[in-house]
Amino acid sequence: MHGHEWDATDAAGLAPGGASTRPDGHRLVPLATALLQSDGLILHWSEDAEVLLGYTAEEAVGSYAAQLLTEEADRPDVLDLFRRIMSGTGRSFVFPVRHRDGHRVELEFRTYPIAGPNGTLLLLATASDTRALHEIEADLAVLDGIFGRSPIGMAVYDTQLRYVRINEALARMNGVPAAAHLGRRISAVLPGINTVEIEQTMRQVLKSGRPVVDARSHGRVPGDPKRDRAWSASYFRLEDSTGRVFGVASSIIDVTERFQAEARAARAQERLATIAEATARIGTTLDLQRTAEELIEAVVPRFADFATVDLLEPVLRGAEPTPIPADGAVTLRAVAVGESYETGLAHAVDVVGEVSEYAPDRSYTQCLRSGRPLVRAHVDEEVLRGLVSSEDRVAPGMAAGIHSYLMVPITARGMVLGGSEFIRMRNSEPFTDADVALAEELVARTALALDNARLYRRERETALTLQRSLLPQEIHRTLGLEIAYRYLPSSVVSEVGGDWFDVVPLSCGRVALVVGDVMGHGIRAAATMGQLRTVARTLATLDMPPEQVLTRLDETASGIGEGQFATCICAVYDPLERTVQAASAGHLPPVWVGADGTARTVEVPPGVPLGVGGVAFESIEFTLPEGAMLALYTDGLVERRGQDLDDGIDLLARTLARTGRTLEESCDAVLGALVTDGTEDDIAMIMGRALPLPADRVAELPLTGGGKLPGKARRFTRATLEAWGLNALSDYAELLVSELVTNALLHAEAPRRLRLFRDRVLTVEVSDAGGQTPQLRPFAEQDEGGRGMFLVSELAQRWGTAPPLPGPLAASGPSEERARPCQTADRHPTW
Amino acid sequence: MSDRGPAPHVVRAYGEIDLDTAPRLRRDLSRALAEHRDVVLDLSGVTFMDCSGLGVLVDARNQADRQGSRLLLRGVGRPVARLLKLTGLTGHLAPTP
Repeated sequence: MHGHEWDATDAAGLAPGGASTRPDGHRLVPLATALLQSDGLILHWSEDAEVLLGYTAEEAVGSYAAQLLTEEADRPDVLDLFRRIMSGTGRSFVFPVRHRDGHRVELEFRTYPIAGPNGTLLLLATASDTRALHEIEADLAVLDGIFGRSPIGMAVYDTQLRYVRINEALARMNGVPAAAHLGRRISAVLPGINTVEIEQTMRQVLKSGRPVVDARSHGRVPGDPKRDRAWSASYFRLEDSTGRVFGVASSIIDVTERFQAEARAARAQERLATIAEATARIGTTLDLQRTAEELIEAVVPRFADFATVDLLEPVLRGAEPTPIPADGAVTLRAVAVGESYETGLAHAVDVVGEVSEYAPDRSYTQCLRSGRPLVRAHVDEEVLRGLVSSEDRVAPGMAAGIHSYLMVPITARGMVLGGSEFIRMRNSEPFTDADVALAEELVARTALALDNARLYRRERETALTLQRSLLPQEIHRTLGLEIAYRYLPSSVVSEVGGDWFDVVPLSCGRVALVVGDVMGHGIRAAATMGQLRTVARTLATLDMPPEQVLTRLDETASGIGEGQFATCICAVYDPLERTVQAASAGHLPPVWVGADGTARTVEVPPGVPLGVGGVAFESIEFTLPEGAMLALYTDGLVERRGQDLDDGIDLLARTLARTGRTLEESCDAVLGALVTDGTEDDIAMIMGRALPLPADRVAELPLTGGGKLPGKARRFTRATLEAWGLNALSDYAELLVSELVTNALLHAEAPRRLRLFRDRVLTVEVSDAGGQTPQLRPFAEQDEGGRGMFLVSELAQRWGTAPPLPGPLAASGPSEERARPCQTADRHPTW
Repeated sequence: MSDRGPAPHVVRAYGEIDLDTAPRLRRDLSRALAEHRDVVLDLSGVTFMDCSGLGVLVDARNQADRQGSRLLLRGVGRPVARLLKLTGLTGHLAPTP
C-alpha cells in the first residue's frame, strides 16, 4: 500500500490548534433567544441575541422590542404582526430588524406564546440570521452533493474503523449496497482486498491526524469478482469543533486502468532489460551445458519461476539434428533446470541429465515438430495433464501452483535441437503474447549458441577420437624395461593437440621410446601427429638408429605440408647392454633418475624441430643401469604461463628424485606436482625403468677362439632352449643359428657373439665387428651359395641388422608358441 | 629301361654337415663323381645340415649334370628334407624316383 501523508498545515482553513480559534458548535449558527411581555417589553435577552443584534442584555431588557429593533416606518406592521402572534399559536417567519449599529438583519424567527404568571401572556422568540442559515444550508447541500452524487467513492468510518457513512459511488464500486456497509469494517465487507494494509493506514491517520494521499489498494470486490482491481485512496481524520476525533474519512478512485498501464509499461521495461542482459549473458562459452544454464539464469526469477532446457538425445551426442518424425516419439535429456525458490517442482520434472520420452501425440512433441511455441496462459489440472510427459507429474505440478506455461522449441538453422519450458507459479501474471515474443527471442539466441557449441563439441570429439585412435592402444610390456605413461588431452575449452608417444618393440628386446609434439591444435595437428607417429614407428622397427629415424621423420614432416612442425625425441634402449641411444628434434631433454634417486636432465644434442629440414641430427649414448629411470615428456607437462620452462623441468627432476616408488606412483607424483588445475596443452609422458634381466630370458655365447664354432653355437642353442623349456624350437633355431654364425664367420670380423633372447618371441642375434650388411639376393637352383640369408628369412619372422655394434646381424626366431601368431610377424613361417 | 651298368658308387655322409664339415663332403663327392658315372649319396646318417652342406649338394648336382653322371640322394632324413623344402630344392636335388 502506497500513499503519502498530507501535512495538515498546508490545508487551507484547517489550521491546527486548540478549540479557541474554532467557533463553538452552537455558534456556527447563533440562535438568539428573547422573552417578551404581551406589550413588547423585553424580559430576557440571550448572549446570541447580543451577537446577532449588537445590544447587550442590560440595554435590551426593559426596552420595548418594537422601539429597539424596528424602523419607525415598519412599526405599524410590526405591532400588527405582534398582536396576531400573541393571539395565535407558535409560528415562524422571516422579518428584517435593525442591528444596534443601524444595518438591517434579516432574521428567521420562531415564536412560542406562553402563559406567564397571573394569567399574563408572554412570548418566547428565537431568531437566527437567515443569511448564516442559508450559508450553512448551501454548505450542507454542497457537501451532500459531493458526498451523494460525486463519482468519487467516499466513506466515513468511526474510530473503530466501521463504516458510518458511504456514498453511492463507493457502494457501486464495491458492489455492495451502501446500507450493508454500515457498522461493519472493511475486512468484513471486502475480504478480497488488502484490508490489513488499508486499516493500518487508517489507524495511522487516526492517530497522527496527518492525511494520507494516494494510498494504493488492490484486490477483488463483489462488484467485479473476476478481475483484480486497483484503487487510489486518500484518508483524513475527522474531528468535531472541540477537536475530539470521531473518525476517519476516505475518498477512493478506481485506478485499475492506470495501474494496468503502469504494470504493462513496467513489464515492457523489464522485458527490454531481460533481453539486454540475456544478450550479454547467453553464449559466452562454446559449452552446451553452460549455454543452457545461461538461458536459465537469464529468465529465472525475472521472467519465470521455473525453467528448463531439454535437448534431443542425438543432438547431445553431437549428431546432426533431423526433422522430428511425424509419428515418432522424442527423447530429450534435461540439460539445465532452474527455479527462483524452492518450488517443489523438482519432483515433476527431470533433474539434469535425466531422460524423458514424449509420445508422438503429446503437445510437447507436436510443438517441437511445428517449431512454434506452446502457450498455456492459464493452466488447470486438465491442461497440465496434456503438457507433462507422464501422468504422475500432474499432481506435483498442481501442488507447486503452476498457473501459466510456455514452451519454446529451440531451433537453429531450421532444425529443432530441443525445447525450453517456462513456468509461472508465484509470479501471478499469465504469459502474454509479449512474453512469448520475449521467450522466443531469448531462446533463439540460446539456440544459436547451442548449435555453435554442438558443432564445436562435434569437432572436438572428432579430433579427440582421431587423436585417441592414433595413439597406442596398448603398450607392450618389454623385457628389461618397465614402462608407465600418461596422456592427458587438453582440458581447456580450446582444441585437442598433437602430442604423441609410442613404445616400439625392436629386435632382441630393444625398445624405442618416442615422444613428440606437433605444433598447433585441432584435427590437422592430430592428423599430422598420426602420420608422424606411424612413420616414426615404422622407421624404428627397421632398427634404424634414432638420428636416422629423425632425419627421415623430418623429410616426412616437410612432405606433409607447409608449416607442419613438430618436436620429437627418440630413445632406443638395449636391455642387455643397458644403454640408451637418444636423438632429439628440438624436444625438451629427458630426465634421467639413478637407482639412488639422483635426477638430472640428459643433454641430448637439441636438434631442430621436424619440418625445418636440412639440419643433421645427432644422437648420444648413455647407460641406464638396473633400477635407473628415464622420463620423456612434452612441454605441456612443464610449461606454465608466466613461469620459466627450466623451472618446470627442475620441478619435474626434483619430483622424480626419490626412491621407493613404483613407476606408476612416480607418474602420479609428477602429475600431482606439475599439473595443478587443468592443462592448457596436451601432456604426454612416458617413463621407463631398467629391470634386472632374468636368466631364463637371455643367454650369450662369445664366438671366439678356434674350434668348430657353428657346431658349438648349435649345441649352446640346443642346451639353452632345453633349459628354457623350448625344445620344440630347437631344430629350427639350430639351423638359424648355424646360418647366422656361418655368415658372420664368412663375412665379418671378430669379436663375434651369439645372443639368445626370449620375450614374446625368441630372438637369435649374432653380432660381429663389422663387414658387409647381409643381403637377401635372388639365386638360381644351380647357385651354390647365397641361400643362407634366404633361409634365415624363411625361418625367422623378422630379420635385420641393428645397432649398437656396427654391422651386426640379428634375426628373431620362430614364435615361442606356434599357435599364437606374433604381432610383429611379416610373414608366417612355412611349417 | 635304363641301362644297367655296374652298381652305383655310394658316398655316405653322416653327422653334422656345416661350415666345418662341408669341405670334406665336397671333396669326397667331387672325387666320387669324377671317378664314377653313377653315384649315390647316402644321407641317412646326417643329423644336421645347413646351407654349407646344401651348397655341396648343389655343387655336386652341377658337376654331375656337366659330366652327364647320375647323382642320386638316398636316405634323406628329416634334417635334410626340411632344408631342401625350405630352399625349394627338393625337386632339383632329390626328385622323387
